[in-house]
Amino acid sequence: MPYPSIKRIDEVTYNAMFNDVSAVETIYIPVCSAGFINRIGVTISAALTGADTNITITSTGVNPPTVLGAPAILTLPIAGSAAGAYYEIILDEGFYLNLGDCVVITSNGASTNASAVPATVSLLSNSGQGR
Amino acid sequence: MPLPEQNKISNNVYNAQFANLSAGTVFIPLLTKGRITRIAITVDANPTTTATVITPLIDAVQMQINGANATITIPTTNAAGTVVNFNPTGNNVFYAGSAIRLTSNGASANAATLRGFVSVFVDQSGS
Repeated sequence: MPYPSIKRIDEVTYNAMFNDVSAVETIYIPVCSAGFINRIGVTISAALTGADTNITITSTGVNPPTVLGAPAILTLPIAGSAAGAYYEIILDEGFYLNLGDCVVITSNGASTNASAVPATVSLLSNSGQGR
Repeated sequence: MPLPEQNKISNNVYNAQFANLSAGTVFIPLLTKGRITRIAITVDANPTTTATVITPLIDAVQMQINGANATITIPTTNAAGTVVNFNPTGNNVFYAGSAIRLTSNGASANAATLRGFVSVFVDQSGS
């Protein structure tokens, strides 16, 4: 078993769910305290078909999330996709939200599944810089 | 940038979603003892015609602010992603096995298509 990563004392985790990540859909995650968002993970409930799905992460705050300076987009590729597949995006340091802000996560719905593909989102937040 | 609010080691977050804000209740099971310090709610579109009112309870007991039973109002001016914060000061202590109940009155004209997103901030220090 690999060593567990040490949980920061100021970390909390938020969760949300897409009803169907293979359709255009936006979900919102209100934060309960000011702090930094570092990492977002997505798990899908079925394989995606037809085309890769892109998930864009933005916020209602003044400080947009980025990855290496570019807009934060997580691609869910059809290659290798399966129920339970996990995808993760590590945001640049400094994505800061105030109390009253929301993380906004939008699927472009590019995949062409005939049935809905629910997807669960987890988001790691802490009070300080670093991971 | 303002200084961040320092999370306590005893802070935790529970999340839930209203599939729609028609009259109905969302339940959040609670795994420990603790105290609810904040409920943050947003919607994916503004409620139309009439505000949506959500009643927050722990089991069957309504949460309070300053000694009075309190509700959470999402006004018709509330745009998608605008957060309504509710900070209860009474009837907000819970025990393992309890459940938060958030009951929507379904009053807005578009309630049947309005999704709600909830984050609940709890302090598990027992204080």
